[in-house]
Amino acid sequence: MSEHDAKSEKLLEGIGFLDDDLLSEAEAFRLQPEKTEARKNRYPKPVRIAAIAACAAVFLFSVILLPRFFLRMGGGSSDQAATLEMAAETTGSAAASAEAEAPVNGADVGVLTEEAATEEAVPETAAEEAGTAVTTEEAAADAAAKDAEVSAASEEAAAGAASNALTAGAASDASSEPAEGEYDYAGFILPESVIAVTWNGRTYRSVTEDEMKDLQLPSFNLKAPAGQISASSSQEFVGLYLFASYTSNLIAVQTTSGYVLFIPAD
Amino acid sequence: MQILEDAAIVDLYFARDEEALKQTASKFGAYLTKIAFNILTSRPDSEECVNDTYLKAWNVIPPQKPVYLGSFLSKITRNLSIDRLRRQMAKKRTNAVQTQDKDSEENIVSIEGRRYDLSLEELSESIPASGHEGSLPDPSYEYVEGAELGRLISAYLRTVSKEARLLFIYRYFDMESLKDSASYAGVTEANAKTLLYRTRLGLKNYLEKEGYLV
Repeated sequence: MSEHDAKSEKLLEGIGFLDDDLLSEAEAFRLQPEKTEARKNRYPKPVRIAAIAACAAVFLFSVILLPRFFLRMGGGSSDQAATLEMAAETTGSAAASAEAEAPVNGADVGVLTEEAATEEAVPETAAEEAGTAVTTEEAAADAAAKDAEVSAASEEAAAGAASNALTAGAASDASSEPAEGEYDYAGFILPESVIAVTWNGRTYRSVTEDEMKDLQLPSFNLKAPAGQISASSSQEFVGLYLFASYTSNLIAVQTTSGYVLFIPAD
Repeated sequence: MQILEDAAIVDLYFARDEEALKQTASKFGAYLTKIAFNILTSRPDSEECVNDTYLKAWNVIPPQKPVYLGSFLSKITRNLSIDRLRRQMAKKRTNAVQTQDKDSEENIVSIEGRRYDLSLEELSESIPASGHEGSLPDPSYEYVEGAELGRLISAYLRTVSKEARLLFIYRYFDMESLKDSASYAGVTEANAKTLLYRTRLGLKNYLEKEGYLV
């Protein structure tokens, strides 16, 4: 046996002479059934609660807030963009399967998309006309002039597409109630002069500043994109969006500088 | 059979009542057998050691009057078991040397004294050093062993955390496995390993600081 082992043995022997109270304590603790409780109670209750709360807060922050933050950072228009994209998908898929005989109510909230119009077997040349169903007054006049050249069949096809899209829009609205407070008047711009658009055979004009102030509608939610309207407009419209208000015919058009609010001209 | 308190059992010893042995076996038999088995790793040997413990307790009480009967008996069992193991190892070593069979010697030692050897190996980290390696020990250091060393180790263990203290006792007094020691102390195995390592190093530093050698 080496000297090292001999010293270790002496230590082991020395451990055999440990005080009785230490050994007794160890023996008593060995027989305690609730070891995990002892470990749990290592820290005072307030400290444990605070630690759990901190962990929960971090978890909630990471699950709820971080995705929103990154969406804002990356998406620009963030939630609304996401909402509109989702609505566009819904509308697109619903439009493909919507029944043609579904009733069209002027007061219904619906949407006309250029994509829907073109997808409904409209010839390419006619699709542009169908796309200009909603445009500025000036563009509407152009479209009216061209209407004579366009076949009645293509008009019917465009109207059918619009009808389908409106039905689909209504179905989409029925399935998803608008969330309140997504957008308010502060988000709208007033054009320098009153401009008009036609949509679904009806003419709308942009609201004036006084009218904007008088409008007492509750907060609303932009529902679905109407797609690109037309580049022929003096205003560069990006898309058409309809309010979720079922009792109003107000529409909003997205321009490069912001959303413009329109009311029926008649 | 009603299990009596330690003091009542000691009173039975003092009264030379054989009921004392039955009470001792009922109350501490399993614990003592476990300690013996941890060291000897042989059921018959450990039972024999425990029986020797009862006999020794019968012979020393009185005059001794232990306050902690369990600790008192466990020390006896531990010492008897270690003595027996050393005798066995010496005997087998002698036989192995006689037969020039070194492999069998290693096997015997590694199997029969495995936990004991592991404890020795681990405790070698606690051996206090004096001066440079290979040089003569510092004359100011004092050699200590046995009961005095036990007193010093006890004093050191009182300075560490309860978990570390319990682990040290389970591992090096009761010779439990690391897993069982951790379980008894209510800590994880990894934590137990770390705590034991720190305690061993702490013991070494403590002995050196106090100026003792083993």
